[in-house]
Formats: sequence, C-alpha cells, structure tokens
Amino acid sequence: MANTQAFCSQAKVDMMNGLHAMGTSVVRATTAADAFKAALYVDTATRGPADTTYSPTGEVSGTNYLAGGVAVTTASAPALDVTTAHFTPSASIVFTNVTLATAFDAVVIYNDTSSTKLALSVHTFGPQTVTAGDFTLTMPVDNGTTGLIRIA
Amino acid sequence: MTELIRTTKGDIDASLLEKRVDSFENENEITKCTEYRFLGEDEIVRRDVHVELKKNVFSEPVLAE
Repeated sequence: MANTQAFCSQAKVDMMNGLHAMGTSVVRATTAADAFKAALYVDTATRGPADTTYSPTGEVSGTNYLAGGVAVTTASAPALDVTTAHFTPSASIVFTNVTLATAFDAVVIYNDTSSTKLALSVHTFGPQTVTAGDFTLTMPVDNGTTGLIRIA
Repeated sequence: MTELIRTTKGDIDASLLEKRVDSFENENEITKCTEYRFLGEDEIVRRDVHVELKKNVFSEPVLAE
C-alpha cells in the first residue's frame, strides 16, 4: 500500500464551510451558514473573476428591483460527490414583477453576512430584458458534475 | 373563469392578449421567454424570462509536485 498525494476531498467541503483559514480570517458571531444574495448586472458591466466584493457598478435598475438583489436560498449544505465538493442554491432565484429595460446578462452571488459583502461567483447568460414580469434563474442539479459551484 | 395577466397596463384579461413563447438552448443555458401584447399591437406589455443555468463555475486545486 503506497501513500497517495492528494488534496483531501473532505477538506474541499470544509473550505466551503469556512473551516480552514490559511490566512487571516474573521471572527464569526455564530456557527450558522452565511446568508447570500444575488444581484443582476447589465451586459456592458465588467463583473468577473477579479471581483472581490459586491459592487453596485453596472447593477441593473428598474421597477421593483432593489439594489443588492434578492436573497439566495441555501437550504442544502455543501456536499461531497466522490472527490468533488459542490454547492448549489436550493431554490430558483426569482426577481418578481420587475421591469428591467436595459439588457442584463449576469448574476453575481455574494456573501451578505460578511461586512464587506464578499463576492462568491459570477454566472452569465444571454442578454435579457423583463417587462412587468418575473426573471427566474433555475439552478442545475446539485451534484459533483453539474452543481453551481464546484471544487474538484 | 377570467384569467388576469399582470402587465404594464395593469391586470388585463388574458383573452385580450397575444402570448408568444420563445425558447433556446446552448451549452450555457436553457432559456424561455414569454411575451404578451394586446391583440394586433406590437408593444410588449409583459415579458417574463426563465433561465436554467447549465454551466457551473469550477475550481480545481493543484498540488505542488
């Protein structure tokens, strides 16, 4: 039996749960999961991997859209699928009865519990507008192959 | 029973509206758009969009050799 070099699989889930801090971390007030929000961005915005925190720059505006976006439902904790950690919001993200006349093509998910509103991920889609309607983002199946956020 | 559709002109009887559904799929998403117009008119009085994300974000740690 030989040893195997590895990034321990459970550590990937533990990182998603904030259990490893190789650098300066934060004092957490509770062991509860953080709250996350989703904000929409116009198609001329430049959101991407360099984002560190939520930014209002390029965020959509319109009837019934509140700056900062809507809450993300995170009832399902990060999990491990063989060696891939994965996390997916447990419900669709819905912006209800909005009018967004300027085309938008991205949603940024960010940590609403953190004091600086740390950015988590950016997801893009084809440019859309909404008129007195609903914009619904349905999540993929939460597993190691299709989960919305994965560490392999 | 009358079905009312919420629009930019208020709640309108569905029988007065034309409904158009468009959908497309690519490697990134499955999207369905539903538009309502008054019969015989061009102005969109309601547009809903439903996007199903297919492409996730992914990170792969690399170990030092």
